[in-house]
Amino acid sequence: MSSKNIELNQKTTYETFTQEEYMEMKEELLRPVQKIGTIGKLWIVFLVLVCCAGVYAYYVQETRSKYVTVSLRDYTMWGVYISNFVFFVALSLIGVLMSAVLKLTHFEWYRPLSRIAEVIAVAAIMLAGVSIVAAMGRPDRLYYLVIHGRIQSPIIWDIIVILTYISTSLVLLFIPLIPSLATCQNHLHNKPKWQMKMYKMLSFGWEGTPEQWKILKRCIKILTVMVIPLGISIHTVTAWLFATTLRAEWDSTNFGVYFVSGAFLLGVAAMILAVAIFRKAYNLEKYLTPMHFDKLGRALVLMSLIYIYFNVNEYLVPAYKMSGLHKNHLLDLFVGGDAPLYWSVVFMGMIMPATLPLIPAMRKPLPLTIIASVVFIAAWFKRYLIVIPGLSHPYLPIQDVPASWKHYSPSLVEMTIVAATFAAMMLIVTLFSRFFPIISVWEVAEGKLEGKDEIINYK
Amino acid sequence: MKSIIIKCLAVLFLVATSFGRLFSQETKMTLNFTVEDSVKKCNVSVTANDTAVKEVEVKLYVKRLYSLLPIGKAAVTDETGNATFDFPNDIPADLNGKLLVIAKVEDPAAEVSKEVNWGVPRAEIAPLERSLAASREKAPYYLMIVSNLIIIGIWGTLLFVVWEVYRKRKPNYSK
Amino acid sequence: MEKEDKSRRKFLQFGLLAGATGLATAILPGCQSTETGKKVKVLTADGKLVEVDSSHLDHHAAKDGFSKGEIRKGIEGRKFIRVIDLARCANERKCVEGCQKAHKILPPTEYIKVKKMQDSDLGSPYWFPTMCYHCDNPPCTKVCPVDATFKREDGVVAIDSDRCIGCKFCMAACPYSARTFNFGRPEQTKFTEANKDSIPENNCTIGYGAEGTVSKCDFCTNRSAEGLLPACVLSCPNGAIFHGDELEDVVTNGEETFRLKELIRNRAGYRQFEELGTKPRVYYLPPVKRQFPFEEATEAHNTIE
Repeated sequence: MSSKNIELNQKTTYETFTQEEYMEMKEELLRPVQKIGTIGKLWIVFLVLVCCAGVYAYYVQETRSKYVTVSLRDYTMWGVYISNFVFFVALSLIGVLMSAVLKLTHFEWYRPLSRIAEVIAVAAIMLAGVSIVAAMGRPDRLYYLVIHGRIQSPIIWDIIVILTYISTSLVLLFIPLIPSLATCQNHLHNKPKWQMKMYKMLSFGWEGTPEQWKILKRCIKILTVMVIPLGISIHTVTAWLFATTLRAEWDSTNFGVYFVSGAFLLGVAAMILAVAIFRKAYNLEKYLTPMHFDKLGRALVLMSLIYIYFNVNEYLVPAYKMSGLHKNHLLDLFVGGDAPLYWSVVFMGMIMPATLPLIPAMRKPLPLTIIASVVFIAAWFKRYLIVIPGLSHPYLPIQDVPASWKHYSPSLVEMTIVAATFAAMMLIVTLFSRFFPIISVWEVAEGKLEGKDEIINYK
Repeated sequence: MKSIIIKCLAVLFLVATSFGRLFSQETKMTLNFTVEDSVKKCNVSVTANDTAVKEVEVKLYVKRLYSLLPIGKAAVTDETGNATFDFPNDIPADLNGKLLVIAKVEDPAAEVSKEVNWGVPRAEIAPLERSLAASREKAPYYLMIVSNLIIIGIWGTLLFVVWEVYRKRKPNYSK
Repeated sequence: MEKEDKSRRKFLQFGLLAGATGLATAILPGCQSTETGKKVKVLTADGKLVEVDSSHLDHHAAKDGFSKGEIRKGIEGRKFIRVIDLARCANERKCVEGCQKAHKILPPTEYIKVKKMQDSDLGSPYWFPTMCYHCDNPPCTKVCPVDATFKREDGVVAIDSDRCIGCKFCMAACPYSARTFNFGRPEQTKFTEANKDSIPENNCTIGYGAEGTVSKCDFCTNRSAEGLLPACVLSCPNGAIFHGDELEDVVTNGEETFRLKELIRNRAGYRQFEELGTKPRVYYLPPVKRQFPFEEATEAHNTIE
């Protein structure tokens, strides 16, 4: 009885939003799913090829001597796999920042961005897991973590929070997708039978009744609140993998926030890149507007400043004291062998994004995209600088060892696998956007209905 | 494990003493333990073909896992072929306080050993405590309780949300 | 019971060699091993070093029959401990070589390393042998996700290489860089395969960890179970390494035997990085009244990749 009334009400509210406009919006947002162009197909083929190269490299690594295929030695026994793992965990916080935080703080411009952020988050956290397995000496014993797991070990904490975060992110990605699945089912045509069947199955019998909407909204709200502490936990626990050791370089109470703030900076940079790419590739200029770049540019400045603040705490405070424990490591970063990389990361990955986007012209799509790509690359090397030089300065000096034991530089096999993790991450995001609308139709429409112009309009 | 070691020691002891007997038939040593005014004394008498051996250097040891611990300084036998050692009170021993005391003469090579109840019995080794460094079964209670509460809380919420959405998949079913 | 029989038989074989008499021969089940001609130094019960044929000392981990449970618990009634007299170390590297031989590992992998240390500008440099300290508050066992490395009741921090998943977290956690990883260096793999059944000098039954797992100094506990000193202790020409049992309050280098507490008290024994709170089971005696002048190492030993 009462539900019928609300249904009627909704029909009337829909009228303030012309049916034509709504159909056009659906048409535009479903276009990437409806038709995959030649370039789109080539892009997928390219990503698959890189992934295959990675699988082959992993096969080589596991079947031959790791002493030959991998540059890891007793002192730097964690290399690019682990720094790549940290990078991907950081990247997965994009879902927390660009979807959950904006949503809860009512920044309405999150609406076209949230699904992009959540897909990247899910893909990144999966590839973080892959990176860890690639680093393992005995991946055949992976299941020991379940049957012999020790709750005292930070690795077990990390696995528990990562699995929880993957599950929560998947659910948080899936629940707002349900209405979109129904839309796909109704509007897509000339698609294979299995694909239509998949939409039907996954849409859970969605009919768009007010009661269903009510529950959907409530669940999204619960999950959005829950995903924030979870996201912060995964990266804090990842920081603890380092901070719980007795090594001076990592022995820092600052480490959790330092990692999380770095992840937020990376999240904004990755969001800018993703927005720029989707905008051009899928002709979504109407939904991903210069306004979004402007807002993200400002966010980039804020996150850079926060990250700089934690870097000052992390490096300059010990540097002021220059205790014997930190000396070797800090001097190596400031003036030693790793100095060029260190200062490049400081300028390119922190100071540049904190200052350049202050100029309004730099917050335009193209310049901001270039800035974001530099930040993105610098962020990867930042994780490299945290992991590898941190291992090369143990308390007891490294003496009388072969040259390769002292200086680590990743092997071809390692870099191929790292490249493949990036390709796989992009492949997951690409494939998702080819099967499901990458911008949530209903969320954007709903925002428009509520008269929130700032979703897509430049203000 | 302990029984193996004891058995092995016993066999080795037998072997070692018989070994000694083979090569030094004539030199004979005896060990005697006495307590005088609460001072533990260990008397070694050396005889060769039933006559006392004078002015020969005797060393006293306690058997340890890897080696023999010398007790005091080497003593020289007197007219009667006797050497006396003060035995310390603080030699740790097994659970029963038993020590294997060995006396040796280098020239002519001879030795004798005897068990005595003079050691400080060691305490039972307490099993390893629950700690962060202990094994999986010995995780601290607080850690297990806190981690399980967090896991149950978060996964409970997650499953609840999934169940809610699933339950309402066909509006007519829920009624 | 079966386990006991096995280890007893080994001792009896050894007993025969030492000149067993009637009683021993009566229970001896016959010595069927053939002589290899390879001589091995062993310490007898009365503290003497004797050379015996290696065939009489077959103790492989598998044949030793220690169950996993026993390996995790340790040798009963013992708390192994070590004291290193820095005044006696001349960096002759015999401990390194002896250890590598006993564990069948090839350079550049070393369970025991000798480092040049200098504590202060005016202080003079000294040689510093370092290995796993078998800490009482071990940072490595804390972080192991699968209980592959664990603290035993006899004080030893051991590794179960059938359990290790190769995450290397323990290596990151160890502030003493005591752990080494088997990356499957081809020379080492070949060597391990070729010497699978051989019994090296001062054999330690726990050899190099399986490929893809972590390994380190194990205090030669299988030798200790039989009253034999660890390989490095026996290999040191200067008797710098004293090994013993804390409960017996005694350490020995095979020739000299000291009361442990007395030695540490009288010689100002200390532990490396006490401030880290790891509570190592290895003590050092400061390099005072040195037996050898410090000589710079002129040769790099581990230049081969």
